[in-house]
Amino acid sequence: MSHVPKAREESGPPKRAPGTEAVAGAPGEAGANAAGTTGEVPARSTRGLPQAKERELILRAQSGETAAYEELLHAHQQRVFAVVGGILRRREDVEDVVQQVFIKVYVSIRQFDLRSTFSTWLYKIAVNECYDYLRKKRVRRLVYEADMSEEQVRQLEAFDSGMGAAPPADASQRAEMRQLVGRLLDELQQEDRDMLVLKEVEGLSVEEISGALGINVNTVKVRMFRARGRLVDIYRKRLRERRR
Amino acid sequence: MACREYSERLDVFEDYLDGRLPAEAAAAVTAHFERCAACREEVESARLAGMLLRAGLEPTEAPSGVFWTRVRARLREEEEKQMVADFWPALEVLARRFMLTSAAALVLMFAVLLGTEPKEPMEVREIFPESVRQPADRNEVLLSLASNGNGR
Repeated sequence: MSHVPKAREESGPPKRAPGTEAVAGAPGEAGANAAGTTGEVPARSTRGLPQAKERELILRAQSGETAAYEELLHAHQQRVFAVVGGILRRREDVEDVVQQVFIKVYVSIRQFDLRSTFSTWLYKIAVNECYDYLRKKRVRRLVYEADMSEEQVRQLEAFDSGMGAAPPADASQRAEMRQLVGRLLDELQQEDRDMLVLKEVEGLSVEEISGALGINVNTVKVRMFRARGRLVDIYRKRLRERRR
Repeated sequence: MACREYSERLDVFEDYLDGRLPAEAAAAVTAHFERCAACREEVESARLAGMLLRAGLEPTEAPSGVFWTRVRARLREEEEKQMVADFWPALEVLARRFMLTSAAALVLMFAVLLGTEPKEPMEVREIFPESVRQPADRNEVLLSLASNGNGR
């Protein structure tokens, strides 16, 4: 059973999901709010929807209006796919898990506290659902073969010489590269690799990652910076081993 | 990390890579790199990690067209499940209320019955206070008639 981040019941005291406090005052959102007060640009939620519109949709969804629920999740679906895809990295699993996330949101939307950030609450459900899924299935996210292919070694060397920064154009080379990076990532701790992929590949902000994983913003920055270093260390170690 | 100046401030380096540092702070970091090769190399490695990840992995694609059809079907299933789940507890509440009401009615009935004091059996005297004592024998009948003047 995965968890739905707890939020305030209508009449109860405020209960925020872990991590939402850090995100509530995030610079991005503060900027958005500030923009709203100038009267020039309407305040926007973290992604896409203007805040007032998002609030209205949440209220309508909480009163059981399915059309409002759909509109709300349509506005956020790309980011939910990014979160789930970034963590699972198995395309065949992503859609099933997002579906499960959306059902969970439908069932528990009444628990959402309007004073919290909807996207944070939503991403947290997505992260919980991913970890729950991985636990239940007991799968490693991707299973790689023990040794690197010649193409992967060539790609590593190209990268080392600063020539491989762009994704390979050829589909089979891309697949090789994907496998290689996946293998390097698998040597990191789960949360560290999730942070890196969510940031570098899926384009989430540090604040969004902080809210989704329930980790303080500064801690995310420090851990991410260290994880980058470890990833490159592993990459250079593999390269040295192949060159011997 | 070798550099003492930034070893406890790695978040600053992350912000620097992310382009989020204010111009003045970013300039200070750049100036630091000119005199600290260790930090410069560390940040370059960190930048390389980002490049490696972006070259190897692609962002997750937008959902396919049938995605929402599936979600709607699941929602309908969920609503049906919810209806069934709501039905039994509601029935249970009704049954419990019925039992409670019945029990309360029974208790009330007993209380009324117990509260009403049954009357003791009445004496014949109370029913027929002026009833005449029956004569014991014939002479007594004659005497009685004589004294009432009926024997004339």
